[in-house]
Amino acid sequence: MQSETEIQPIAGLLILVLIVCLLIPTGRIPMGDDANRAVYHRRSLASFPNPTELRAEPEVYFRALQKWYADRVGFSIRSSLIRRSVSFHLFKDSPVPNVQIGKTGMLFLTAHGPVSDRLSIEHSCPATDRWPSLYEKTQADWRRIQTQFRAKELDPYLLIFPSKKVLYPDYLPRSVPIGLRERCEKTAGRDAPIAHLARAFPNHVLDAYPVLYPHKDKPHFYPPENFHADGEAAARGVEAMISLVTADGTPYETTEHFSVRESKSDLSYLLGFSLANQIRQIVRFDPAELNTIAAYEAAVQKILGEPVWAKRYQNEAALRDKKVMLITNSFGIRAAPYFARHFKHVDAVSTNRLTEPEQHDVFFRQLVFDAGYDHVVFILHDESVFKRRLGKFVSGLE
Amino acid sequence: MGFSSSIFLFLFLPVFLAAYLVAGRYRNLVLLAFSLLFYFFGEGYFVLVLLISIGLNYLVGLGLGRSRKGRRRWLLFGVCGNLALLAYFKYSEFLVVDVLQFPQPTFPTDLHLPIGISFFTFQGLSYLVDVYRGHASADRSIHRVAAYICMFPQLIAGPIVRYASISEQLVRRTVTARCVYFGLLFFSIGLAEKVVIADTLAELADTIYAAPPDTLHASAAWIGGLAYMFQIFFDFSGYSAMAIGLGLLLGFEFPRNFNFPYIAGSISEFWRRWHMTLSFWFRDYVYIPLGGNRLGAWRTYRNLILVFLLTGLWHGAAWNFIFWGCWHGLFILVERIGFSEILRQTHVGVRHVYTLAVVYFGWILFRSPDLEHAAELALQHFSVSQEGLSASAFVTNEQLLVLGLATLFSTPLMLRLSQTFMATCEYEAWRQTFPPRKLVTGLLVSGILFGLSAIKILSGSFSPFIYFRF
Repeated sequence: MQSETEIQPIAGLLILVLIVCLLIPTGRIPMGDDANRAVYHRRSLASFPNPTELRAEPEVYFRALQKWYADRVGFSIRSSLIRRSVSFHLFKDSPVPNVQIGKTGMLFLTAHGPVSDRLSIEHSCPATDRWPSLYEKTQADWRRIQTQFRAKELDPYLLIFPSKKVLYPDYLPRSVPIGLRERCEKTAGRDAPIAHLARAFPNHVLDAYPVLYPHKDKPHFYPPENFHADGEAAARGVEAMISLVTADGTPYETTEHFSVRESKSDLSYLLGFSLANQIRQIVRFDPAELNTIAAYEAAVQKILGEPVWAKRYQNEAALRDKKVMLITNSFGIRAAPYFARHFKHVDAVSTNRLTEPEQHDVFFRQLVFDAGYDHVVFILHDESVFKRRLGKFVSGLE
Repeated sequence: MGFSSSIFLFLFLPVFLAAYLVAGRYRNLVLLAFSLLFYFFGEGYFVLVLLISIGLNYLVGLGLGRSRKGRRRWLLFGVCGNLALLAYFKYSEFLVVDVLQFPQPTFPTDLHLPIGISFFTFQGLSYLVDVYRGHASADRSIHRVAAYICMFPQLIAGPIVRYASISEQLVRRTVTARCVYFGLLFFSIGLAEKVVIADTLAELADTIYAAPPDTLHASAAWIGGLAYMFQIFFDFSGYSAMAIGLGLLLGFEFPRNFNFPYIAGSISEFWRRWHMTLSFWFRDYVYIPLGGNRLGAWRTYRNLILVFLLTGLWHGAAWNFIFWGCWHGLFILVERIGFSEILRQTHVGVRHVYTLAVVYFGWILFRSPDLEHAAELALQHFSVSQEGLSASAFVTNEQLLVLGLATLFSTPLMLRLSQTFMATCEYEAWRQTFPPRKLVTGLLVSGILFGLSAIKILSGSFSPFIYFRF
């Protein structure tokens, strides 16, 4: 077993230094916080493999061990932040496949999973041969929602924001095939399904596209680094909706003044680093200063059994002494503060995490119908309407 | 567990080095134990295949060493045993299902291919042939034979080390500070080649090769082809450099495996620069024993075609690898018949364009999932249609930059430039002396390259080596 291998002293010292340097990331494993790591990765971390599995399938065991290690090794989050930030700022490349960079640096969420299949664009911009069935389904779904709500003496409203792909198809990245780009341009047309739905229910459904379109070329209007409409884009959509809710369809144009403010991109969590952006915000208005009731979210989560986003705003200074319920997806989260400026009591619940009809049933029965709301407003964006979110509401109502 | 995985770099390697440092006279044993653990980590109980190979070669080696008569029979037995292992795991399914087209149930399909089987089988054969020829003596110590066959730095992706070239180092070796310096430099450069260049280009090549060829614009076909051409070079060359670097840290001198193959002026020259240890292995253990070029023109041509057919087959049990081998063999043959003379009279640029074109379209054959895809993709390069996704739909700015760097680093230009300020990563440079200033700069460069690679590894990029599957 013996060999005459001589390691000269300086060589040994150099190897020793190398060993120490290489062990530092492993040495940091016990100092890390798994909870923080899981939050950063937006997933649960790999668990330590059961040693009894080693005997049965060692290679499977070691693969699991490797995953456990890779999730916890020191400097991994810092390295990821550096790499993603360099990729974005230096190379002007998106560090993730499902966020793509379009013309003038405008960001587009092209898929909801970590893949580059452009499914989100496909959904937001349906092919024209699907339009007739979308007309039929969305109108039927909305009619059924209205029927169920009216039976409870509530008159529901629907606000639909255009997704960025539809409002800015000319800014889509070069990787998007021409055919798909043309579909997005057509989705903004007068006969497109959302416009069609709004025309069928002119006093209850608002397509925000025509409201936002005249302003779309203002810098930071629909924040280029965002997925959601925020700031002025959200405010204008909401104010037009309020006009519909309170004045039965009187054309509305906000008289607010807007100024550019620093903010953080809502795509930061996907990109893996904090991306600053700017939004056009109403002068002397800060959503963060609105009065909210913290206990509301916990109560809603307890009822629904899901960690849903929910917020209760109470604004004594508001002119309208009304109680409003916002049933939303993530677009409503950005829009809710603009409702709260105008109404004394606004509740907003994101239904993104509700998947089963029973969950929707509990939601409507326990949180909407008997809570004494004056107005109920659904807030969605085009893609969610095309993916039949309205149908999910119907399944919980009937 | 590849060299570019975090668990190898930050756990396995330092723990191994620490054990190696303190093992004193038992360093070969430590090397053997960690090599078997390295293989067990990735392949589980298929480590038994490796152990069978070690046992077979050790016993046959002893037989060859002891008997004066019947040495040929011992060699035949050893060669057949090694090839039987390789044939069963690597080629039997292809032979039965694809070539003979037997009905599926007659043979177990989806056989697991033990990683690196082609490499350690060839090392085992090298041991037996070198002992048979008297280039080295049979080793009575099983742990040294085992350490030679399964030494983890070059176990799964080469370079293929000849027994005769390393037998003395297995007994006696010295690790000097210069070895450590060049070991670190080779390893860092190899790691950067793999992680920074090859992995970045892999994403581009994979996307384009995964797309149906008729959906691609000609520009996309070219950029995908180029990305793969550089990916496979830097992936494999990077791995070889890391293996050489690790070898130096342990006191071994592994042979050079690449010598700027893309600057070759002919296909014959390309094969003297690409995967040199494999080319030389085939030359010395197949081509020359078959008669080489000594038995007339036709026998020479037959031998050449046979060697390249085997080279293709060595890379994988699939038709596209066989055709890839034949593709290269055909051009070698044409050059041998007289084309090399014509080439010699042409401008150097023409020679390079010819060589790169043959190599480039060879890689399309190599990388495509089947021959039909390869033919379609090759034709798409010359399509004048403006339909289809252009290169700009696929390539990122980082990939473009890396493509530029890959072009630059595949020539000796940067190496020559770096010689002015550092003790650079040239083969066998560890035998020379350098002023301390050049060593310090080299260490800095090494640290920067390692740091860049580590950031990419730690940030979680997927990084499998291409040559593992051979």
